[in-house]
Amino acid sequence: MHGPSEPNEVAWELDPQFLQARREMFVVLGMFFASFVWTMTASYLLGYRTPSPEEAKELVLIWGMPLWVFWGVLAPWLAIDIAAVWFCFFYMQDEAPLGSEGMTPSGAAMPRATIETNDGSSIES
Amino acid sequence: MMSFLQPSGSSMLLADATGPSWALAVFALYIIAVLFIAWLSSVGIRGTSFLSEYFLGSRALGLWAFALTFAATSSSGGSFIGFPAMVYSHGWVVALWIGGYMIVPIVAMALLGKRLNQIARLRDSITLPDVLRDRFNSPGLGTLATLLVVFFMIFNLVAQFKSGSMILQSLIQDEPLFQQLSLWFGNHIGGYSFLGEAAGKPGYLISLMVFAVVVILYTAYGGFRAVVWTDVMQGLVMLTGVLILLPLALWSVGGLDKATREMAQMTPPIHVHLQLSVLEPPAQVPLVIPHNSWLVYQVGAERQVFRTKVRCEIPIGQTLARLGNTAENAESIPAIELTYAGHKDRQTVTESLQAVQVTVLTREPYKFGADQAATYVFAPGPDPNKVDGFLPISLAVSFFFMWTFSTAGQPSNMVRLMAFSNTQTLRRAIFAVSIYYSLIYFPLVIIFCCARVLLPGWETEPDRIMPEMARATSALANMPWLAGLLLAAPFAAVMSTMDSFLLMISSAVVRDVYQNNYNPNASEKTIKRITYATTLIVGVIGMVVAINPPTLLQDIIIFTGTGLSTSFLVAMFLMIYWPRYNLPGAVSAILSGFGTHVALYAIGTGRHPTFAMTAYEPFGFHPFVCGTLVSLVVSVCVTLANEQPSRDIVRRYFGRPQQPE
Repeated sequence: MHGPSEPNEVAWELDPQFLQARREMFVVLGMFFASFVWTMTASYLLGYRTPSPEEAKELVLIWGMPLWVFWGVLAPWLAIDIAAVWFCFFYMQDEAPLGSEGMTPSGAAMPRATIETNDGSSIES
Repeated sequence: MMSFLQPSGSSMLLADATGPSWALAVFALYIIAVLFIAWLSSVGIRGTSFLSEYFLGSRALGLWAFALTFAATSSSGGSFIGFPAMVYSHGWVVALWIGGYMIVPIVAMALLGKRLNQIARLRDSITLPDVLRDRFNSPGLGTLATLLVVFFMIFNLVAQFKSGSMILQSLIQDEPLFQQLSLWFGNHIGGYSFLGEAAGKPGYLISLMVFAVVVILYTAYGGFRAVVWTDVMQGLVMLTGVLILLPLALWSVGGLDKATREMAQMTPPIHVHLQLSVLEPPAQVPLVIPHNSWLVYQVGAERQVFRTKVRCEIPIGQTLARLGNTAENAESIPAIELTYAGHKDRQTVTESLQAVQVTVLTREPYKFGADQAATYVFAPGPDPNKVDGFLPISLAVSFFFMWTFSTAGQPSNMVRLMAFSNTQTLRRAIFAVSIYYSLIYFPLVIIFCCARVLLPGWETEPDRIMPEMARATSALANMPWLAGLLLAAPFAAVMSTMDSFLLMISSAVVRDVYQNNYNPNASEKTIKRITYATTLIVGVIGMVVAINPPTLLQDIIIFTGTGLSTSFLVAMFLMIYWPRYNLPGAVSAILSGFGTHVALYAIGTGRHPTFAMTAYEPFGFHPFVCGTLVSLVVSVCVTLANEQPSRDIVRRYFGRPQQPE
């Protein structure tokens, strides 16, 4: 096992493709929590109650479904579908898969000089 | 034994000429198509590297293949049988129960997809244990993963075999040809003691054999590519089924607005036990009272409507109906009593039973919802057994988490993430699957809310609501052929799940046990033979066990499905995103997730010995949620307590690729 400060260590840095994938992962988690909070809050506030018998006869419906199902389930569902358009076609990036040409994929074309010296502290980042 | 089951419900809706023979024709066509696709894909196996092709389709899945195989594998028989039954029984709240599926495609495919695919290519890993072994340079970890996959998957395979056979049986049980075959078959297998109880269920056995042989054949013969392409067809069949059924259902009830307003007036039925009798004992033949028979009485101004849950008969010379000769309380017949006037008023008595008298022995109203207004329209939804309703909010939270992250953690889904051809395919597929699920799950809720209005009294046998709805609506629309097509959907769903499980097990055995541990230098020819043989043998073992399957299959499906995710999700996630992650961290993630999951089930089962496979749920959260949290915390702590992973590995997986020195 090499220590981080070993003198003959070859300089290297984190793969930008990995960093991009990690950013996308955080966006995915963000989308999950947004949809989760929306669905649970709206459903809980509008849906978890018992209406009076009078109200039950004159229910407010949207597109034929109960108000709470529309705002608590269908609306976030459609919003996520729209967000999926943004995520899939405008945010997420295409990348040459690692190792698709042996061990020297896309990054190989980069001039050697751009690779900064880095003693490995970025491992913990 | 002839089935006396009449398509009941409002007899006006369900004419005799609908459905069954079409179901058989569609089924036959469907099998032919599946086998044809398998043959086509086996042509593709020649040439390329055999194992990578057979288990991963040479990592060349394009958009439609990738999207539909992902979607179809995740929706099993439950989506078309159990889920509709749930909507029918509990109403609109089930939309929230399934709500997690809005985000499932994005989380399950985008959370791990891009990186997992890259890492798998890097070392040409074919299976999930492969990836783990290579990432940490640890054959031991690979073996641990293999054992877990095989352990859970074998259970699940048996469960899927059973549910597939039961679906097939319920679809074609009214078919005269099938009944004759069952009769003939039943007479010939009586003497074979190894069949055990199954000898008394020839219909199930025939369905199992047909179903299993087809799936085993096409999976073994065509490998991953066959599985994927049959998935594509099955996915399209499911989508078509739902999209045809939706307008039909809406049209049959006169619009969703009308349906929801009527649901708001509905009250849940009461579960009852009845004593059924006649004044004059039957003289020549016993009076058979089939299950799902209607009994209607006018008591003063009050109309009483009952529907039986089981078959019973009044023997010759007697006056009381009995369940069977040996059953305890054989004269107490379980049934339901309708309480909603709108349904009671239009229900007519089953014709042969006009002389039957009824005495109500016990009445068990729903524990939740019996006295709530609009209970089918609001949350938490009516429930016959649970006092706090079908879906208390804590359970809704659990399910939302569970659907998303347990789908993300399924090894069968991760394998698909290793198989797409490039990230462009992945991006488009995420969008395609999002739309696909939106078009399947939400419409299913609407369709079976309509079914609740259209077809009363299926609380007796809720799992039949999908076939019944297909028949009822296509009869109303005067298109009986449609029922056959609609019925292919649930069947397609089970098949597409099963074939991928079968292949998972076989790949684990061939790649992870045989090739990696036993004979790394095996020739391509040997590997090929062993692969075909393993797939066949694993399939046959699954089929033989499914002849007399354990009884709690639905519980087992949930236990194994969430168990796999609990064991693997955290390890896979940290492995691809955390450079500092090391071998002790990965091992502890897998073991602590698995351990917590199994322990919670063990505690729960110990506490309620009567309901086997009950999980203990701390604070009302499902074992999957608890297990994943424990796994995450333990894994991070163990990783930090141990030394950094070797620089070579970190560089290989996380470093900017460089020219060789």
